[in-house]
Amino acid sequence: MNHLSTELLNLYLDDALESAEKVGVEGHLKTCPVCQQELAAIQAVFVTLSEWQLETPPYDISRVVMAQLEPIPVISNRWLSLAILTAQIMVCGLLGFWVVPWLVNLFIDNSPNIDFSGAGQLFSRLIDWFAGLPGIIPAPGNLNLPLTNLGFNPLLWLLIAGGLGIVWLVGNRLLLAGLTQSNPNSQEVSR
Amino acid sequence: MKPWLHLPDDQLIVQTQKGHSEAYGELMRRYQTIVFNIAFRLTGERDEAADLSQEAFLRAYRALASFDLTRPFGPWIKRIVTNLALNKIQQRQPTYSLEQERLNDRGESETLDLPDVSGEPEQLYLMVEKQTLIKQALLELPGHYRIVIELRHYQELSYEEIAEVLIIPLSDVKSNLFRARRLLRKWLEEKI
Repeated sequence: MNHLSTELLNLYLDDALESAEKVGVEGHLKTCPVCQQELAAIQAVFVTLSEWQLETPPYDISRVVMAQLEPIPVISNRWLSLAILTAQIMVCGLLGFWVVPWLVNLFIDNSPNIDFSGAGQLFSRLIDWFAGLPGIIPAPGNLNLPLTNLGFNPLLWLLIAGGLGIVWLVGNRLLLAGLTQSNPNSQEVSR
Repeated sequence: MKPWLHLPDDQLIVQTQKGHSEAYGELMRRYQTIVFNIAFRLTGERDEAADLSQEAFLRAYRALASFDLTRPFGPWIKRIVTNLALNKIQQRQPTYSLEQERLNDRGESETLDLPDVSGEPEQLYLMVEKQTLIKQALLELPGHYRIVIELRHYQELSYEEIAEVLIIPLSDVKSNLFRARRLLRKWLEEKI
């Protein structure tokens, strides 16, 4: 009588046989005490291995790891975030440079009782310098820009500028919050 | 009561991704014993296993921002520690004798996590003997046999999954497992 190979019995115990092979092995095992004995010996190894009892770690690993954790960056692309932030700062700066002289002139024209001469002269020079730069959009003080010809109340433009500024600031705050989250447990535990 | 205790693993990961590192602490508490035991079975060294467990949790944490929440955390962290331990055992020879020496120095009951069998010294003795025997048998195996035993018997991976983890052909998984069991059987038959 041909006996089943030990390798085949291993595969049988691992449930790694095709169904037809499995039926064949089971049929043979019913009638062959030698193969039954061999199967039992392999199963004994399985049983011994399954009797491993979980060991307790020598110390609380989670506490030690917690002390070493750094904050996870919520925004995965840090460089992209920094680039956006830089672009925002530049746009805000340009916008301020462009709008502030115009606002100062507006105040000078509408508030004759207040002496703006010092500030006015300063910004007039800035406007002249800015207008003289090649390749840069002239400041509104020297041009009849659409901005000044739309017929809106200057106060409305001031509110729009202020609103945009707040939007920028809130956006930046959210952006920075993602980059600099703190870890409240970093100082809590030590090994 | 801490809010994390009853959250499922995936929610703990979401909370960790939002910056609540305490949630990751809870996740580690759930898995640290399993992770430690994988490392211990593979290396045979308690201190080394604890160090590898730490390293595994740290690596997992650093990769958590891009973790795929549709996949379970358990198999992932087990795989990380398995790979770390595998690298470690590939770098050295089996070290059972050193570990055994240390166990003997400390006293076996100190290092074994046993159920309460106080008042039954004979049963305790047999249990300690059996546990020592299993550890010794595992550590006697060459590293590439020990790893397939670990993955098949303790992590219950299929042959295909083992081949994927170890990056070896399916036929090698089968033959390594077969040979590892044959060695274990021979060893156990000699000792018992």
